[in-house]
Amino acid sequence: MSKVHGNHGNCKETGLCPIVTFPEVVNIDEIRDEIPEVKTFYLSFPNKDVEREFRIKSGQFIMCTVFGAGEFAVSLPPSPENDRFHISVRAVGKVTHALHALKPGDKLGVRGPFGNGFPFDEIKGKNIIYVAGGIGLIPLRSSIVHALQHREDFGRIILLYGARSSKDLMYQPDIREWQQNAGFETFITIDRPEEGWSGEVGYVNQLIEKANVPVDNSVAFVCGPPVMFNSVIGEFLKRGMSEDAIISTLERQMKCGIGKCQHCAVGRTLVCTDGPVYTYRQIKTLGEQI
Amino acid sequence: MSMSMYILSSGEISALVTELQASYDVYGPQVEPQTKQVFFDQLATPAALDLEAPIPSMPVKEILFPQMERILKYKYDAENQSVAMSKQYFERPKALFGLRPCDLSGILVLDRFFLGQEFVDDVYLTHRRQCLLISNTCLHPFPQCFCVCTHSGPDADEGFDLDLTKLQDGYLLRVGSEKGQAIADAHQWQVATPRHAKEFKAVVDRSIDLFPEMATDNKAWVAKVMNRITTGFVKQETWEYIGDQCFECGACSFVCPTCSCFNIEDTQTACGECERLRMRDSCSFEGYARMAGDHNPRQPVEDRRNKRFFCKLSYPQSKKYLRPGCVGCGRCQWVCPGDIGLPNVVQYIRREITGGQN
Amino acid sequence: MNLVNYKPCVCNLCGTGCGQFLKTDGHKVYGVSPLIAHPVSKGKLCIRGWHSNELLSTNERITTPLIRENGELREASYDEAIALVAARMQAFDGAAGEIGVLASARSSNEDSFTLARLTRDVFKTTLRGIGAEAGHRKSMAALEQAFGYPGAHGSLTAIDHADYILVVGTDITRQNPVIGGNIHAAQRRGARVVTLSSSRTQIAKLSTKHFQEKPGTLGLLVNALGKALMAIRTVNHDRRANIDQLPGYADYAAALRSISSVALERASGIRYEEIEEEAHHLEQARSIVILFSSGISGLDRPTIDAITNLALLSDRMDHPHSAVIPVAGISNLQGSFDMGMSGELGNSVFKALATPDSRIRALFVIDHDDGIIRDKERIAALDFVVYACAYKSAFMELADVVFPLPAYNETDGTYTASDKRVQITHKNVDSRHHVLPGWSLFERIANASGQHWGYHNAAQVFKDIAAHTRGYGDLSHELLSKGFGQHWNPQGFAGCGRRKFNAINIEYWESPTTPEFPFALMIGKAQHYWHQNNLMRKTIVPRREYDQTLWLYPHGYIEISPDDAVRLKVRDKWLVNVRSSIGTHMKIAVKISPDVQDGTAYIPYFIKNMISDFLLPYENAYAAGEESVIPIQIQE
Ligand SMILES: Cc1cc2nc3c(=O)[nH]c(=O)nc-3n(C[C@H](O)[C@H](O)[C@H](O)COP(=O)(O)OP(=O)(O)OC[C@H]3O[C@@H](n4cnc5c(N)ncnc54)[C@H](O)[C@@H]3O)c2cc1C
Ligand code: SF4
Ligand code: SF4
Ligand code: SF4
Ligand code: SF4
Ligand code: FES
Repeated sequence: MSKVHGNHGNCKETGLCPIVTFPEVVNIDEIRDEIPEVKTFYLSFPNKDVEREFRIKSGQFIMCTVFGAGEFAVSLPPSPENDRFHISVRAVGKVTHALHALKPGDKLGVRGPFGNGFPFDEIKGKNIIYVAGGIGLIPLRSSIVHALQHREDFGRIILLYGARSSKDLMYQPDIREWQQNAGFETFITIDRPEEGWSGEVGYVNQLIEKANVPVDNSVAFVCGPPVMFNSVIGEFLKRGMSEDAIISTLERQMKCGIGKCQHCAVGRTLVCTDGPVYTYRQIKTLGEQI
Repeated sequence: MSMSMYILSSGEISALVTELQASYDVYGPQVEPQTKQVFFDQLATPAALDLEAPIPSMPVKEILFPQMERILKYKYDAENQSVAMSKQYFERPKALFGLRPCDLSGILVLDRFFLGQEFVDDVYLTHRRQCLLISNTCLHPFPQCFCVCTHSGPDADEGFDLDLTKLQDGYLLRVGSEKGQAIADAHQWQVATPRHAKEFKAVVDRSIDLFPEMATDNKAWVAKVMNRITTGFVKQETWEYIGDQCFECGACSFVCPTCSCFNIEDTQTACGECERLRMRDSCSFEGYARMAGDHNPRQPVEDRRNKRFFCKLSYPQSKKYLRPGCVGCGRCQWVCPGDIGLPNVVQYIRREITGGQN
Repeated sequence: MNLVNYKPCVCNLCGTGCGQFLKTDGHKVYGVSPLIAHPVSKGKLCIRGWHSNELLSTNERITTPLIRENGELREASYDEAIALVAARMQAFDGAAGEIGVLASARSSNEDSFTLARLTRDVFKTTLRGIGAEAGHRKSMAALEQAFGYPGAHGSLTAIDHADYILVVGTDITRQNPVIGGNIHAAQRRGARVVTLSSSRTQIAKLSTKHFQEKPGTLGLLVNALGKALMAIRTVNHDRRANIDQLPGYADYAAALRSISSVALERASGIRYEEIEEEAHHLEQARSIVILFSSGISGLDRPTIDAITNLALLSDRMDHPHSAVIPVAGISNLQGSFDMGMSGELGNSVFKALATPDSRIRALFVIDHDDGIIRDKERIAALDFVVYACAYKSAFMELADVVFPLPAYNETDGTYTASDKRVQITHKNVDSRHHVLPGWSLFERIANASGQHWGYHNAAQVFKDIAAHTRGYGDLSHELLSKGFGQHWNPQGFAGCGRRKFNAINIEYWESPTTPEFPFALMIGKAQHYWHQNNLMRKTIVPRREYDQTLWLYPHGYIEISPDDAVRLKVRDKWLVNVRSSIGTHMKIAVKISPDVQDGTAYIPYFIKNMISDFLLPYENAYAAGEESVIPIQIQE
């Protein structure tokens, strides 16, 4: 019984202090409609000590309690530095619908942050290609903002983003703001032509060609539905991208977030502690479906 | 630490139980009178303890990792937008008196899993923190035991505070920890002699000899089967054959001393409060690994069974547990309506390796 | 000395009657353990039994009597609610058919017996029925004709010793998994297990031999087996001569002889040679167990007649390890039948509700599955409805007065399993809300109506049961508390020992499918769909498993074969339009399964009310249970 984690014990591995067992109360400060069925919730900790200690890495997630309904896993879209604490959630089932019914001022419970997060230091000096489909942009947002906050550390930064229709594009004000950054390249597509849409039409994998993405000295972060994921990976591999340079996140049913309940087991790893971020090479050896 | 040994009379054992009851909840094996079924349950009186009772029908993990427990209670006040929360699991000193070595090994596996990985499971830790572990050597195997194949019996070699073995002169008590030594030091127990140590060894050897040939014979096979399972060389047909026999009842996980999977669910109570329940779960269930979204990574039942045997018998898993995940208690064989308890599965894979011979 | 935390009892979640321990401190239930010494379950439980603790600790309980006032249910005292019920019920003329009573096959014998008394002596009505009896009455009639008493012949424990086990139709590893496990174990010890089933169920996969007949021909197949067996008999003349002395033999034999192997093969898809070969195994077996499902998903009467006839013809039914068992999906289906709650043929409460101009005005209902409320509009329009149940249910919405009942571990009670084994469960948890047991509630309603029965406890009620119920004469709570129950004694029936063949007709079933409606749709078959769904919805893990299928197929599903999927050009989970020959219609997802035959399709029972709506207009779909076939078309 060497490493004792209470609620705010020391975690040797990350140097951060996750909230492990007993949820910490957060306040919903503001709710914004993002796209149909998806809302963004801006949160803050009434307990300022906790707020100070609550530090995250891009790609991590929290376990969020909707009081009376239950707990669910949700990605952290804010950048680790200078960003508002928020989550973006699609209403799909019992808990997420209950969340959507809440109003500003309502409270939630939070445990975490959990998970390994995206590598940040290792990719310095490289080109970054973000590829997202639909709400796959949620887990990537943190990394995009963080990379732009350190723009000088990277080569080209490209976002390839696709959604079913223009109404389904996440974080549109954010995207417009990012586009103000010098050297932030965005390619956005929707599945079918639409009145008033002058941008690309088609699937995201077709954007790879358009953007003329560099494969050498590059990393790609890919998040989206399985069909998109598979076609995009195929395209990257065809272009000779290394399997280690393609990075994604896996989603599994999660109950504890701390590697104990085993609901999130994939192959031989647990997504909550070993993931959710994996390289494509790792994903391939997991021996299970994405 | 060099191991002290003492010889205790039955009277001294009873006295020890009584004494422990002053500061611990004392649990031990006892026989249910109507059905003759053995449970490792809280002792109403020292007399209820039956150290000769066969292996308990349910694993001792029930005490540290119960089938269902409330871990949190909260009440949300929607009007005032406020919440009151309270923790529902509490620390209580517990003495587990007369653990079979397989159950002791099971606790060690759970310790390594719940406490030894990146995070510590606070609920388990709370139940486990003030536990006194007193094991009890098996003088002979019970039906379906095969701990000799999995290095977990018939005697205990690590993890206990105190360990008992019935000898001619009484119970040999071996001390395994400082906590155990402190208890011994507070008593004037007769110190055991080398003759007792020799007798202990003979008793264990005799017990090993009493294991059915099948179990001892399987010893080498367990290693070979682990190898196969780890490398993924078990044929799909074998998994299908096993999967066809699974009735998806979850029993194997519920009775296994080393299964640790659980589910969490918030439920409403009558008075507007909510409880967060934590209950055991099993990888045999279709809904266990349901992913958000619409496909289940482990849908075919044979894949789910494959998951179980990987968990019990593979090297990566053993690395986590510092021993094989199976402790050879044989309970899954008892409770499986499909007849695919772990020993049988070893047989099937063994048959596959030998090409049908045996 | 009794243990601090573990109390033995009997699982109440299906008609197997497995032994279980509940882990309880007398207030709440924390866990479950199987009971190893139990002669039937032998330390095994199914997913339902293993999660009884979740059901028994749910908060979705009815906790107090409720009375509807201005459209809303409000809390009431027992005195008030009972007085109201007594007064209102007195205003109806039971003898004239104005009162109906709908019992539950989950109630204890004590509750069913006192309910029967209330029905007869206080409500003075003959309009009664049991929630899931439909098929069971047919099983009872066939068995009574064959063996002289309405109940299983032999014991479930016979499975453990029999040479030959025949499973007719039922998907037994799902509905009664522990019996399925025992059959599987028997197969592994060397018994010959034969399954007749139109789809490849799990038990079919685990059997020594599976005959996958075309839908609607189960009975024909059983009769063909009879024909082949009889043919062997004729050759071995010296053996077992007296079977042909039994009443009905001549007609039966003549009918069997008329079976044409060509027509058999055309109708069922099974070659007679295969049947002949099987008959040799049957002939060689010294002990034979035959199992079929009974109750709402049970078989039709001709098929059951074919089964009992085959059993008699085998001439092995006197062997202690032989048995013919109607396997019930609900715990006390047999018991509630024994207690006399089953409706009279042609005069049941169901019939009264379904007949628009019947005189029924009031209904007294115990624990009704909300998935299958039939004639809902009629019930809603009745003058007065009383409902009693342990758990909250949609039926409460239809009731004017609601009573709580204890859960099965909160009161003493006996339950009669599929093989007539009567078992006792003792109260091991204090009912949290001082809820009256059913028998006590009924007695108090009787009191308020001016009758005094004088029961003080369940044991006393059971004494009356023993005195008035055939077969139960030797039993008492005291006796039942000693072991693991006891089968009721068929000697209590005058006809016991008399054997008789049922009359059969050989019909070569013509599939009702047409070029326009080419698929034969059947119901049944799903991993986590049980007769207990209204209860299992209140658990956590089994509910998740139940929902699992809905997550994968949110609109429900229809199972078809891979080849048919290719022909229809559909893929798994695609939505299709399903239209039945009488015009009902639904949109449902396709599930492709190698276990179903071409030209057949399955939808699970109760998967969603939508499906019930699709099926309900088919009066006989529910009545014919497993063997009902609906012609449908499927379009992309
Ligand atoms: C690491 C991780 C990060 C996540 N990040 C986010 C996030 O940032 N935003 C977010 O909205 N969700 C996210 N999810 C998914 C989220 O956890 C689930 O949507 C949530 O648990 C659903 O809970 P529920 O009780 O509402 O649904 P349930 O009642 O459990 O499910 C009801 C129905 O919804 C379906 N369903 C559940 N999840 C999804 C899904 N993701 N997509 C489509 N259908 C689904 C189910 O199949 C089912 O039909 C993440 C999950 C993980 C593991
Ligand atoms: S796998 Fe079976 S034999 Fe092994 S420890 Fe678990 S229950 Fe015991
Ligand atoms: S994954 Fe399966 S075998 Fe492993 S601990 Fe969990 S339930 Fe047990
Ligand atoms: S006990 Fe047997 S039947 Fe039940 S889940 Fe385990 S392997 Fe399957
Ligand atoms: S088979 Fe029936 S009686 Fe046995 S545990 Fe399952 S539900 Fe209970
Ligand atoms: S969420 Fe519990 S182990 Fe990953």
